[in-house]
Amino acid sequence: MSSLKDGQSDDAAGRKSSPARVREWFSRRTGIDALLDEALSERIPGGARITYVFGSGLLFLFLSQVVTGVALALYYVPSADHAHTSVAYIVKVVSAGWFLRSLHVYGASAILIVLALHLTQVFLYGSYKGRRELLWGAGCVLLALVLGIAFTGYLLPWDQNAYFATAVGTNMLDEVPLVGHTLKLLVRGGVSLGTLTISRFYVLHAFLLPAAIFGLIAAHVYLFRKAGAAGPTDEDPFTARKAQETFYPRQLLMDMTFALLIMAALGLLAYWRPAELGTVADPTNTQYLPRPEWYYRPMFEWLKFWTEGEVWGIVVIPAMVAVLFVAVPFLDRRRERRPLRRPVAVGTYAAAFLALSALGVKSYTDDAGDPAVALKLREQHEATQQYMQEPFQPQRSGILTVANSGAVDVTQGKTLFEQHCATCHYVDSTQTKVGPGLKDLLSRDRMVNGQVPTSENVREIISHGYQEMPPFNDTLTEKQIGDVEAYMATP
Amino acid sequence: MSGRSDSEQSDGPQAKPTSRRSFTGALIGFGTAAVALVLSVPLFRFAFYPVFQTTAETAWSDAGDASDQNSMTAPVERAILVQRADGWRMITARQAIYELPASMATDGHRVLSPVCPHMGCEVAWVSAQRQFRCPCHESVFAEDGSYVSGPAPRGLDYLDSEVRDGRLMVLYQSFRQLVSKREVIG
Repeated sequence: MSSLKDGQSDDAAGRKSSPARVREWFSRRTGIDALLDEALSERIPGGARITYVFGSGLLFLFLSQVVTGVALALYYVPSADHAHTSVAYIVKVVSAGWFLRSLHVYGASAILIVLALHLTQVFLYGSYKGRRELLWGAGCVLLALVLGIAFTGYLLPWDQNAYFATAVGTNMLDEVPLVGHTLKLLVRGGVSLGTLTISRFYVLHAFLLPAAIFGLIAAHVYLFRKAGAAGPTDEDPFTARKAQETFYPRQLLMDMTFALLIMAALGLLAYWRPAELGTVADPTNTQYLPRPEWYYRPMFEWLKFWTEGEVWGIVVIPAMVAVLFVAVPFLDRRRERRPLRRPVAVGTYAAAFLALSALGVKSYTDDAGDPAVALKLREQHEATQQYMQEPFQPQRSGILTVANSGAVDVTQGKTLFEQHCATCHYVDSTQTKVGPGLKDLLSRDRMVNGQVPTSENVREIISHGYQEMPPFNDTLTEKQIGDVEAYMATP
Repeated sequence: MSGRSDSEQSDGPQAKPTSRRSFTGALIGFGTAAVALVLSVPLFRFAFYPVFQTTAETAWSDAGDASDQNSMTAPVERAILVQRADGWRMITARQAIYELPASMATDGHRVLSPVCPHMGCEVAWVSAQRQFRCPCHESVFAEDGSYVSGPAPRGLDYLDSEVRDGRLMVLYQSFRQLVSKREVIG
């Protein structure tokens, strides 16, 4: 297509400006003009339309997620000990960190919204007809991958909501027949949710799923170009007969305008309502009411219906819906694309969409309708807001070396413990006094705040307190805190 | 819409009047550039945050009981613990220093940083030759830290120190490499 350009360049055009010559030099070696021509001259039967902007809107949003995600990875640490602190550092300390994280968080929601619009447009227009089964199938896989990447990303900040949402989400795997339990252990990296779960989710979220999404986008776009744009609903799905318009300039302009609107909306939202970070995950807080993101609310509500035979609600019915969904182009094979003449297909789609929406709305109204729940959710939100206001607390590391230098004084630690700690804690028992009993604390799997009881983490709690326990970094010196910790570590 | 589409279909994109086409192209190009520019501001600030950070003030470190400097005959290596911010952590890092005998401490600077001002390797005291030698690129320094030979641009840097209540206190700092004058960078 662009061989025309290449051929005429030397003789016909005569003298050229240097930018044009550089461009030509580059184009001859890369074929970039041919590629651009190919991309821009995509033919759209019936001409450009606003309703066609959603696909490229999704591509744009995905790229935005990649850019902001790579930026966040500069500071994020995927481990149970550090994940929450590093996200707090991004949000509270690093320049523009709160803004970029908000773009990433809201970008995820935006992808789900635009995906719903894209899907609805394709469905209503019957654009899956006419040898487009694989194109549709690739889209279905992309939908699943997007839900997966949203789910895995949600855990990474390791705050209360993230922890419990993932606990529920991964427990559902248990219902999968035969391999369910193994699958759960594989995904979690063990029986309980912990640091291995974070690494696994991080690898999925930042490496495997994005790679898969890139691949499937390529396949989706290729299959789209192979089949050609379907055009309006009265166009024949196999052989386009309507007058055609190229993608450039009008459709491109519409697509770019849409992308610009998305970016503006995300930017304003991120600026005015920055995404929140809750307090650090605390598995012992049985009072906590976890709630998933809005796009998982329908599933959340759906699970409440299955008090028995959960395998139906969690596995069988969703699997049937998924198979039915992928099979749509095989089931609806007529040439007819006008929505009003496809009452069964469009009716089913509308019913499914309404059912999901109703479940989601019911989930919110149930919460609002129960005074106790509403109060608890409001309190949790206030706690989150308060946490967001607090200045960043750096995590103390490496104090261990002080202890190793032989400076700790266990006897002094015993005296200090009796003065400051014994009012609330037994040192020789695991019984709760006011706070938990501390016998064998350092050989336990977890402390009450969910952290591993390393020397550092124990000092951290003594220094900064935890829930009702006051911070002692004003009362005790670092050396004294080390002595107390050493006393507790002494059998 | 269909009228314009017709003309495009028959002649391909090249046939469009260039003025309107290039205007749209310019509009799209300009829009893209504007968005990229606006977005790159937070991205740049985010990625370059550590560069623009003013270095956290360094605290004095306790290097242990001060020796009797007059009875020392050779530099002594000591380990000190330095508290500093490291990203989202507050860490206590272990650092080596050299304490000099009184006879070698010029201008009363009794503590040397072991960091070679060439490429930043840590120099070793070689008692047989009574010299500091850098293990990396073979810079050699005299027992008072002054430059002898090799690629280093200056002698070893002194660290501010003082004796408080019989303890040797050291202000651990880093210095710019590869310049001929001692210059504190953090």
